[in-house]
Amino acid sequence: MNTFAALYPLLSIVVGALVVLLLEVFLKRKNRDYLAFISILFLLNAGRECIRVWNQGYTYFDGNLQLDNLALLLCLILTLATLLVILISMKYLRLQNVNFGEYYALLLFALSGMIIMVSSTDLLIIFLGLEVLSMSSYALAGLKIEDVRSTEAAVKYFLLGSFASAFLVFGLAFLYGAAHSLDIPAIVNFFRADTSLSLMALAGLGFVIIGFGFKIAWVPFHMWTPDVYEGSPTPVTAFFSVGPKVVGFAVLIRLFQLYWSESLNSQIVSSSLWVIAVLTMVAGNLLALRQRNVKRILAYSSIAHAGYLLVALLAEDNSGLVFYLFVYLFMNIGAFTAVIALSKKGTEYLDLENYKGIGFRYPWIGATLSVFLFSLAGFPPTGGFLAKFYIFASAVHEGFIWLVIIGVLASLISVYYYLRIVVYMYMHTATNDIEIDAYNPALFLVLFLCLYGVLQMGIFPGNVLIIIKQAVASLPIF
Amino acid sequence: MTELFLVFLINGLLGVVLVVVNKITGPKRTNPIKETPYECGSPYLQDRIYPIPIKYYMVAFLFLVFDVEVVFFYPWALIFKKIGSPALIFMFAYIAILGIGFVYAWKKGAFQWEK
Amino acid sequence: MAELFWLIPFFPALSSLLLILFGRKLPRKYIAFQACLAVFFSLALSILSFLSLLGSGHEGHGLIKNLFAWIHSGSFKVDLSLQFDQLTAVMCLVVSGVGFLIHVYSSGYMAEDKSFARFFAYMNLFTFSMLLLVMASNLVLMFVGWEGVGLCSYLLIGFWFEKPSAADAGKKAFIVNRIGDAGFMLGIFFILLHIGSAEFAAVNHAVEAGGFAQGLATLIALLLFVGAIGKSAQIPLYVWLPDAMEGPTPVSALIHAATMVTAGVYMVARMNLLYSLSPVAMQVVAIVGALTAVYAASMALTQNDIKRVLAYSTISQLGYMFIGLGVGAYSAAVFHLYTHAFFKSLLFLGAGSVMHALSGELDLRKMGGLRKYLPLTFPTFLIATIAIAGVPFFSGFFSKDAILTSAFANGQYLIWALGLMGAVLTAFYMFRVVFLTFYGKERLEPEAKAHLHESPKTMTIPLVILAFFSIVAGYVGLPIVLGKNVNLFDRFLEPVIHAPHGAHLSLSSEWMLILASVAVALFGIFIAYVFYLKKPDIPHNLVARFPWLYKLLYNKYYMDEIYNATFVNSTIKGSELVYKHFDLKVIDGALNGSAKTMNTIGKLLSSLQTGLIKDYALVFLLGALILLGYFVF
Repeated sequence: MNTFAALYPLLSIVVGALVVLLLEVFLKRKNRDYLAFISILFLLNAGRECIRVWNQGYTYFDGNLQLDNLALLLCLILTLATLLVILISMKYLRLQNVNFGEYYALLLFALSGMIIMVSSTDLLIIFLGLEVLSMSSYALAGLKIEDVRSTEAAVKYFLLGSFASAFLVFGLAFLYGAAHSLDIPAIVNFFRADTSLSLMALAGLGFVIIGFGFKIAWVPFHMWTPDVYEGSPTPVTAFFSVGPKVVGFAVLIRLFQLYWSESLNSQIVSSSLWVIAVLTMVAGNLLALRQRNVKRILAYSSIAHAGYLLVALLAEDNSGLVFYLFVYLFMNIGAFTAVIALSKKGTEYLDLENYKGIGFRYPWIGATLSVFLFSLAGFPPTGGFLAKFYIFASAVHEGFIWLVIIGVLASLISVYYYLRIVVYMYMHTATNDIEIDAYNPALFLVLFLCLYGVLQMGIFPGNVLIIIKQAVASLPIF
Repeated sequence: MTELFLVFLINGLLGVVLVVVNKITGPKRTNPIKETPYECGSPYLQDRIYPIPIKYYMVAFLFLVFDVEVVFFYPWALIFKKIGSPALIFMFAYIAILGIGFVYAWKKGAFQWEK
Repeated sequence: MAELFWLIPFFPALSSLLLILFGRKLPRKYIAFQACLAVFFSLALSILSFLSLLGSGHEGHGLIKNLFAWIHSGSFKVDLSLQFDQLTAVMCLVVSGVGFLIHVYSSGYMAEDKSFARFFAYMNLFTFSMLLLVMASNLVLMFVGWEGVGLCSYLLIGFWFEKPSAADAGKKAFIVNRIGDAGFMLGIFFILLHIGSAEFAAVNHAVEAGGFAQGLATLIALLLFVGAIGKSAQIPLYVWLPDAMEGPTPVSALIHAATMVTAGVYMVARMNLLYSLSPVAMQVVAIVGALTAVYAASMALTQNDIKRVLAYSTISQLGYMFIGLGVGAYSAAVFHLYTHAFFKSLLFLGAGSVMHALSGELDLRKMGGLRKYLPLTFPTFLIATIAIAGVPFFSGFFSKDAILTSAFANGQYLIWALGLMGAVLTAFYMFRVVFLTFYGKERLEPEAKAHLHESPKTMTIPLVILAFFSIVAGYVGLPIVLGKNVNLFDRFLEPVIHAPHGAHLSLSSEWMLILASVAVALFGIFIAYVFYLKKPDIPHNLVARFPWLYKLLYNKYYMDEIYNATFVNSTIKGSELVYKHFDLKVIDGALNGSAKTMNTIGKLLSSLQTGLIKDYALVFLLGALILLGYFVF
């Protein structure tokens, strides 16, 4: 149904961002927590709107914006991610001299871009959303203006991001040239009917994959990830590690949902994605082995997780993929929250050395961080285990035996560096006294929310899976 | 088509290969003279390059933004009759967002040349 | 209200969670109040649900509440659902009722302990696990409760983990229970494999429809029984229970009376249809029960530690329950479970009160004559002793007699005889405890005597309440000789106990059996009286004449030593061998080797990560070109 109500979630976010901007310049308060709370209000409202139009199938702009259940669920996931990031940012911003009201506005703008991306099937609209997201991201990465590495991260992200965007636009042009449309169903229809193996279409698809591969951080388009993750303010890193991945895969789900078939072009794409998946899983995990900076470890781990997610994409396990994204949201933001908690004014403790004995000095942080790391490594009874299990099970079912074997071996490697953090926290005695003054109720709220999420999905995934199945069912089926 | 792509590919690959080969095989000898800026053979005139003040960029940036935004008015004017009154509402919304950006820039002091 | 029955287990769970999270910062008074209140809510809700179940008449099938889908994987389906039928009602009342009194008692008993909040958090968790166990409507969820109970017992037995003996006892309980659990789990797997569901209703339905061949039924029944042996401390897995008294005394009361050990009995009663299919399994259950009843009672004869005597008596009484189950008198077994809960918790709490009065003294040889110092503990303890000894008009008499009568009626004469023998021993050793503790000369240590005092009200009031129930609880299950429909308990359980009724005896032989029970009980008491009050030198003479027998009994048949020599040591040795030869060389070698390789590759890869944008773009471009090249050709 074409109705203005379809715009409500998006509008709520955009209006929220604008309100925050105006308040920032007109009120000029030193303490900016009130901006965070205003943003949260708008986020909650957007979430409420998403839930309200569940199962309604609203569309707007002549179908260019369509809120099917998948879009709504992903909107909810993204809104939740932003909400958690805002909660963990408040104290951090003050402590690390990043106290700008624009921060919240930029986060909301980025979110609005992501909502556009997940709720459209037109690649041009998706590209617009991507640019909104990217522009905000570049600014967010460089927000720690006193820190050289933050500026470096922003410049790197900007240059390479524009590079990738150029690829994407180039690909869109090719696809349009071949299929005479940028609507995803039309493109897929073209591919299904295309027996002569149109080079233009294939190349276009390749460019699009590269463009999104950059955002999702697949090897070999991942080189920016560790530097940007390390340099950006930590809450922003948490945001980067979840948001762009979710939207990237959302677009790819829509693109590939109907694409896989027996046709030759599908086989070519599938086999090249197979290689990318292997590279991503293996290289991501191997590179993480040698890192000593926790943020870098988590950056490489997020690359590896992009590889596991690609396995789900190849295996056409859409509900498994969304479930993995959901779990990933909780365990990754949770891990970053624990990292943020270990900081004091002007200093963040990121080196492994600083984690010695943390488990006993700060039992809550140590325990929750351990759970998140176990979940990232895929131990039962956490959500990370079930998510990997579903993905690998359906991949085996689809015949990707070798891919699964490599994936499982790669995740075995990952156990080493995840557990190394736990070992440092519990089995080394503290050498230097580190002081923490980032204790904050909001931080603990997020820690426990994430803990709850990880355990809920590891132990009682039933209800979540039912919702995800409903969402995935809203995709068109031939 | 295939030939066209061949050109693309060969050009691209050639670029990559040359950079890599250069990196691997090229000698890496440096001396102070080599590190100095190259100014067509004549002795260089400045010690260093003075950075251009950020406010120039600021003005250029804002000009560019508002300039490009205006471009959107043209296609809108072309299809205005077809869409009718909703188009007017959309454009007002668009201008409103732009206006908020303008107010924000103003209040931030982006238009003050000297503080 | 009754529709809310599924909330019963969640009050203690919530309270436990709160205590674990915030316990350290809460005042002690509040902690005790909250913990007791939570169990009290469970009790109140249990009573309400029970009343509505009574109101629904004998045909009432109980309630089932499906909380949510837990595991749905293809045809394998497990729901998180709770039920409340007649059997559950009895168990819920026992667990929450006795549990509540023990909680109240603990608030006095543990008042000085430094880990007050931790104690009540575990106690609440224990109650929650047990309630979950008895309310689960399928075997898998029951297993969750089953494991939860095992975990809590480990935590509580090892509560004073600074004491090595307590920590060891906790470990022992945990490990021995694991052995049983393995069997239990296998049993569940077989049921799941066979009928694809673990719901009790589905299992019963399959049994009634003839879905189980006899051999399979025997196999499953025996495997499940292995679990029951572990949890209910029967031969040969009983060794953990006597050590379990290393925990605080209220914990012993909770383990021995209301929770944990009754789980095995409950489980067999719950699966009664399946067991009735297999005469072999039933016979095994009965024999194990009868042997345990006598064997444990014989070990109780010579112990000098008051709690140890009670521990062996629990094992022996559990043996009676299994006799009941084994001869098909399921409701009699549950009946005994229910009466036993009252007098055994009373005995333990009374023993705790004695310990409290004597500043922690446990040795019977250092007590005596306490009657006049403990005016409330003494009569309540005496009532419990009379009840457990099987003296008429006290609750234990009715339930024990019901079991023995059924054994006789089913032609299990040997088992009946063993049961009678156990009854003599029970009466004897229990009165031995009473006489040594409360009568005779005072053999107190001087400093213990100085502090001698009756326990505070929070401890004595539960004793009085339990004493009341130890007397009257039996009157809901009067023997059949007093009329056809006087056994309300049997009739209440009828909808759940589907088993066919055993053979009936003539009225006169029933009277004979009752007289025999009474006679042996009185005989046991009489011997105890003669031995320990009239002529205290007789025991010494006996020990002098049969030193080997005394030593054998005193050292508990050397069972712990035998287990240590055979299973424990060989396991330790074997694992050391594996560690030395396999772990260190093969696994560690392979691991270290592959770890080194991985590290090297990681190093190579990270040398690409130069930090220069042009290199990043180069890699990007190269990747893109290869991808496109692959697409195009």
